[in-house]
Amino acid sequence: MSELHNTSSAAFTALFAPEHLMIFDGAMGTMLQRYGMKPGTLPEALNLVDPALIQRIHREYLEAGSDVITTNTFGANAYKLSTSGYSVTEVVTAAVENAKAARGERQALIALDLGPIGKMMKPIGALDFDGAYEYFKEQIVAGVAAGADLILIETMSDLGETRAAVLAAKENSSLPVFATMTFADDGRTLTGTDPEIMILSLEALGIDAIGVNCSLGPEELEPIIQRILAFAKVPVMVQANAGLPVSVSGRTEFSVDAATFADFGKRFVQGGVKIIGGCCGTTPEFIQALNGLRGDYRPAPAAERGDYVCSAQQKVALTGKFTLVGEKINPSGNKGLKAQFLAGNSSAAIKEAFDQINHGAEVLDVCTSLPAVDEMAVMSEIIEAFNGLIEAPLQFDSTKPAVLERALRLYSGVAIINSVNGKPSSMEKIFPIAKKYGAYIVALCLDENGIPETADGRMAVARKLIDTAATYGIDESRLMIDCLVLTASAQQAAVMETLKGIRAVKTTTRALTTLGLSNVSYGLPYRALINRTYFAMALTSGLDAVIIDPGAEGIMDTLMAFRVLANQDQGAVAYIDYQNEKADQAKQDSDAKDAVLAAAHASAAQAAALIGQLTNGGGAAAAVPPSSVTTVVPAAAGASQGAGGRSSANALPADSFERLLLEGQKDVILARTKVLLETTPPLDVVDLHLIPALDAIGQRYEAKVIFLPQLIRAAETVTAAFELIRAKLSESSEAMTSKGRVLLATVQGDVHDIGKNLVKVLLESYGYDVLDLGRDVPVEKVVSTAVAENIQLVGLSALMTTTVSSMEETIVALRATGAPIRIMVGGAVLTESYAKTIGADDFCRDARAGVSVAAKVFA
Amino acid sequence: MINRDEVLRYLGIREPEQADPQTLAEVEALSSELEAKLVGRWIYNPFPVEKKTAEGIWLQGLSEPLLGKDIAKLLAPCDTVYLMACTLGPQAERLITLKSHLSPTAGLIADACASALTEAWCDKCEAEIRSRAGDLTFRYSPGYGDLSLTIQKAILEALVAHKRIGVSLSDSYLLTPRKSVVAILGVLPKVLGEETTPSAKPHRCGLESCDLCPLKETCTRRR
Repeated sequence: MSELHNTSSAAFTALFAPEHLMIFDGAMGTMLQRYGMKPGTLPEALNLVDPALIQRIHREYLEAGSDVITTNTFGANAYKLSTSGYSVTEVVTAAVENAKAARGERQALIALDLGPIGKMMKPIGALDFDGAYEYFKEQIVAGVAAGADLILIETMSDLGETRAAVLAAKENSSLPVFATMTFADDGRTLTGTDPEIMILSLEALGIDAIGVNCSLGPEELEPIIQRILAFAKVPVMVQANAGLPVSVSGRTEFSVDAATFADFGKRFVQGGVKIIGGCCGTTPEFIQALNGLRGDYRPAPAAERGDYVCSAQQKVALTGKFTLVGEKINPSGNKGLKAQFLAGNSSAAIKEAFDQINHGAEVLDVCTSLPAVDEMAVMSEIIEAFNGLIEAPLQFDSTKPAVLERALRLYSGVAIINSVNGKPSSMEKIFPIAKKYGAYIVALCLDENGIPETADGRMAVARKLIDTAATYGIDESRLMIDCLVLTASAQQAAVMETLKGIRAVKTTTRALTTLGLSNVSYGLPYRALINRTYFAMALTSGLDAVIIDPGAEGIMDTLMAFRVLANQDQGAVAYIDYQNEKADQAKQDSDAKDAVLAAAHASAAQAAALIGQLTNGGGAAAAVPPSSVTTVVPAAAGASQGAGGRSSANALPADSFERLLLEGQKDVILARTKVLLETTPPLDVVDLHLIPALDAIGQRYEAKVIFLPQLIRAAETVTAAFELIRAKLSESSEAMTSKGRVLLATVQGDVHDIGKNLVKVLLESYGYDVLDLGRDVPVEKVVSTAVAENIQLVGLSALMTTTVSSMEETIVALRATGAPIRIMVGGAVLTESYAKTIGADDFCRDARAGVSVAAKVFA
Repeated sequence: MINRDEVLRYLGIREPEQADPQTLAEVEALSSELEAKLVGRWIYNPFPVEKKTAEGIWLQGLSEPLLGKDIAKLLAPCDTVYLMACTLGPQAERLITLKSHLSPTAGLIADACASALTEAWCDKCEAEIRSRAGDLTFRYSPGYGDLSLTIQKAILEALVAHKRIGVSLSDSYLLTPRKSVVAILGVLPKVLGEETTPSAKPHRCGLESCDLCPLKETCTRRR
């Protein structure tokens, strides 16, 4: 049994003793309904309005055998209480007082019950980590002051929200903390977290007991409980519903009786469940039945398991296999990322993440260090943007302890810190953070004396790191020792020492080994060959992980081949699949390249014929490569040009820019643009070829000859050509002058942003700069940004009847500044007349109208 | 499951013949992907009707009445009303957002596919209710006609939707996750010996006229 992390009373120690089955109580809501509570009543308010009733229910559970009663505070947070007229402190204090009164002199414990806040976390909802933390903190401070004995966080389905609650509990009390989440029958919470990930993430924070409650009855929960028992190192807690709910005349009733409930309960406690109670539908009768199971409890030892990192949706084993960490989310040497970080946009990082994962990265290194950029702010933005979207676990790369701490705090999962080294100043700053958040740590074998030349020297630093980590309570299995790669061209003799170091770490310690490999080839020709050869050598020496570009030539090849040779990939099954996929992809790429080259240089007739083949699904390029981010979308198989009908793209010459844009032929556009740039000044390419094509497309859209998807496809495709032109311009130190800046926002309270995003794509395709504030943007932010950035045109979007009032407020506030700002508005529920009523200058029926307004403003 | 023509309508393409080959291909590919990756969840409960007037319907177990002339008319023959909530879950939004980052066109089409998929799951749920309860009225949602969005709060509470399928309401009465639907279905009493003719209402939402509806200018369901 694991150690308790917090101070605890004598009563707690007795009731939590190793051989003792700890019995919680049953449902409060069910009992309140039984005693006549009307639907729509706020249960938590009854603490103040009818304390006698609450105390009666608590007493009934205690008499039935509960060791712990949970306070009637499930929804007692500031959000759910906001219209009640009661404060959180009032309600929580009263709830604890009621529990104490009911307990009297009995040896029993009072658990402060915290349920979910009731709002969804970002990016789906509006709640962020700090906001969630404050909601929980308020309840906890009141609960501790009033005298709760422990804290129960339950019925959670969002791992991030749960972490906020656990951290709020750990940082604002010294009480034991238990947490249970709610799983659906597919074994995941509604936000995609499975039991193993829950366990990894919450044990990393020092939870005292972990488990599952609600959602399902005992029979449906059994497989989930078994998974938890097999993986958890801390005691396991279960509170099942009394079966599945059925509706009888507007009342909810449950299908399982107390005896059956206890039958399942018996199996659970025999299997090692140490803490048991009941959720929805259970009553004192159920607890009485559970009380009879005390003799059946068989304490289970902490589960044996390997080491893992995880996101909220995915776990990656670090032991028993090799782990590839993708290094490319790093602005140094990456102009695209740099520009986006400076603009506060995480799109490029998401694309980079997606690409690396497709190439075989299992974990992603993230570095946001860049002069002129707030490293912590950008790191936080990326974590928030990745949340739920990019499922690979992360490795946080920074030299600033404050940035690392913030990252680990925000991140819903278990991550790797990159890095700590043997200098005392590094160890004393990094180890405490790693300990608090349960992170793994890349540990560099260098210290205040520099990088040791020999393997023995590096091993000595590794020893120092391991021993010092131990003084912080960090086991050596959490360290990923980096024996450091020096460049072969400068320190050739040292290259093998690194491999010796890896072998020494693997044979004399329980730490993992990792390496930032591409350093080795710096300065030599054909770096890819040196890198992949060294990679094979390091793998043979026992390397556990590498930080590298997975798409770099030869890297995945080497790993896949090694796995066969090392007898890991049984029957070379994975290797053969890998090679088959590569062959298919190579054929597709080669066919597409041929067609594109021909189209760029051949006569118009030849080009038309080839493009015709491409778009009729004749070539291999017809298949959309799954890992490709380009939108070269083929015609539907078999659709002939004629039957395509009124989509008059078919009537256009095959190699015209207009047709290529409509069809989204990105590669062909790029090839043609390149060819044009050989003879035409870049700005002429824009003004004489691209913009006229876009204008023609826009007119077709207005004539309802083509439709929105085609319009957006064209805009999206042309931005690829713009990148090429921008690059060409910067060669001669020119820049594309922006036609004008437009500020866009979806108003406060509204999270619909597809329409706004389409306006953005169109405006950018026409050469305007767009400052996109995102969605649910507070009025003050729109105003202050518009003023600070001297914005002349603001576009506001709202899609709901309930949020147009926010739009009106935003307009009023903008007008109040006195600045000469033109305001255009859009959104499905708006009309021309309503837009005028709320003070807008322009009503945009669709995305294209926004471009027309911009043209007028910036003429 | 996804009605491809419905997806096209959401994209502003009223007749399938008007669609271009690339869009058709993307709609097909994304529809298949979403159908494979997303699973809808639903909950529903029957509620006895307590009181009916021309202004609204009061249900036993629902803390507020369903107020509106349209809904009152729709449910006039009913003694039992089913309230339902259905969602594609936060996974749908994640998928759409990911697609949007990689390609705005794909994001636009994925969003339309997800809306159609949500409707398809609602149809499934409705079919299950029908198999238990018999003939039903049109599936009517808050926001149609003169039934305010605000009643969603009471309906979600009555269904315990946040706990059971993770659907909640933002401060601005926006359902989260976004690809979610709250709906009302009245149970039509069986009248023995009489043929029930399906009413020839022109609009799927059950309204006879679009005049009152705030979505009239952009509604994709107008025939």
